[in-house]
Amino acid sequence: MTDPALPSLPALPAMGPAARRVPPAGARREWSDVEVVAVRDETAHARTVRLHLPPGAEVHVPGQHYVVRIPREDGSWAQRSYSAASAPDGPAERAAGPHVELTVERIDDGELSPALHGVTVGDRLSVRGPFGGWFVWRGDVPALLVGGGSGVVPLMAMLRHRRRHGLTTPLHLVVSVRGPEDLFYADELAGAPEATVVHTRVAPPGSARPPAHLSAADLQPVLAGLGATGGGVTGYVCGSTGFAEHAGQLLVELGVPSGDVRVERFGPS
Amino acid sequence: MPILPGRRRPRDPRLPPGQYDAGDGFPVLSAEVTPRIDLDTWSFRIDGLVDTPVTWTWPQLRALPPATYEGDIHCVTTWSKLGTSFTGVSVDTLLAQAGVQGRATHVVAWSVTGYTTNLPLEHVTDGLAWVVWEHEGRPLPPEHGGPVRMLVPHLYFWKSAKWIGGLRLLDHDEPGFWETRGYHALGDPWSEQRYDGD
Repeated sequence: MTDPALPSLPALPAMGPAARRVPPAGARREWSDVEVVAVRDETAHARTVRLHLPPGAEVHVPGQHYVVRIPREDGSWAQRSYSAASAPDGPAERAAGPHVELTVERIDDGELSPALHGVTVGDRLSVRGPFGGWFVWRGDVPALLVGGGSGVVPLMAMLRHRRRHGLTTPLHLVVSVRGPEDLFYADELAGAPEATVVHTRVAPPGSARPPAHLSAADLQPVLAGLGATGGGVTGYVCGSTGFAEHAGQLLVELGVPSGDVRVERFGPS
Repeated sequence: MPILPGRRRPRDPRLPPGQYDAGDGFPVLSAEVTPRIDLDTWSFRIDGLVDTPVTWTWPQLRALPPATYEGDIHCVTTWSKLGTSFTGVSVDTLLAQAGVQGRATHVVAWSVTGYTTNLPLEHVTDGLAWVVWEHEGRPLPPEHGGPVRMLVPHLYFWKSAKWIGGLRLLDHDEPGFWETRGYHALGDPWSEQRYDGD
């Protein structure tokens, strides 16, 4: 921060440059009624809804989220945030109305997620977004993505963005799941050279790695493969509070500066 | 469009619009790795448009008259925690020692991690803000901003900077970390000032 009136003050610490990006339509993002055009089960507890946004709607940056709201019978609304899982559409799709996919993990005693698991093609939802200017990857810096369970969702948008455009920026996704049946996007991640799946409770048959929590030994070779330790790689950590704390500390212990680790903590919703 | 059942119980009047009661939960939301802070070397500083910049060490801060907030907190991600408590020292006590200059209008609260958030001066004075180190009688855990964080409970909780390092008084508004990334400049939960332009 610079302040000409206070030239003698020491600079405050900072977490990196911020670009204040006001969308062309104005600062406020309004609610849109959008159509559900596809639904897909990812696991027994997670479902992806594909939404068709209005023509010209702003396209998300990988890592950003949308807010979904559903009315209650008493006239109030329940709203929660869900990360975009899909790669952002390009200008042509945007003109015709871009699509975005949100993956929703079902929380049995939650309010919104069970209702979102009940939507079908043709239903309409009220959404607002995209939001978030920190946990985003524009494809410009080498990235180590570390996700726990449903925390893989915004990271998948980053991986898909890289694939869709054939980007050569180094990127690797490490996703930690209890067992094989808990892995979202399993078809896309199977055998992917830029993805590593770590199992904490149940390993698939023939796995060389016994089930165990994510450790430095899992991340160190990936960091080395990205061409750098101790700088040059931005870490993106997403998952539950416990997972995010654990994985974030692992990256710092492996030499990634804490200022280069971006964290998104998912709560139940 | 799907529709949800009406709420079974009458809505708690302490809940601002769009918020739900997190009950005994205390969700953690922060954008960075939780720092490990050593209270032997940590200090809290007030500078900028003050008569005397002041730095307090941990023992010096603890020697000030304590103050406790009992009430509610509201996170922009839609959870609220009702009837909770934090103990520390009132920002009024700290500002009185530094002496606020007349042209100061805003503060930037900054964290040791580099996190910043902006607040109009009148939103941190007259009993509206604290620097706290206890939650419900126990030391504030690191993931909740411990050992010491800001508490500005009448605004969304991203204004209550974790791992606080100090306050800087300015004669203008200087948007902070989230405020330059799409979130509202003030963040009044009763007006649902969640995002830029709300």
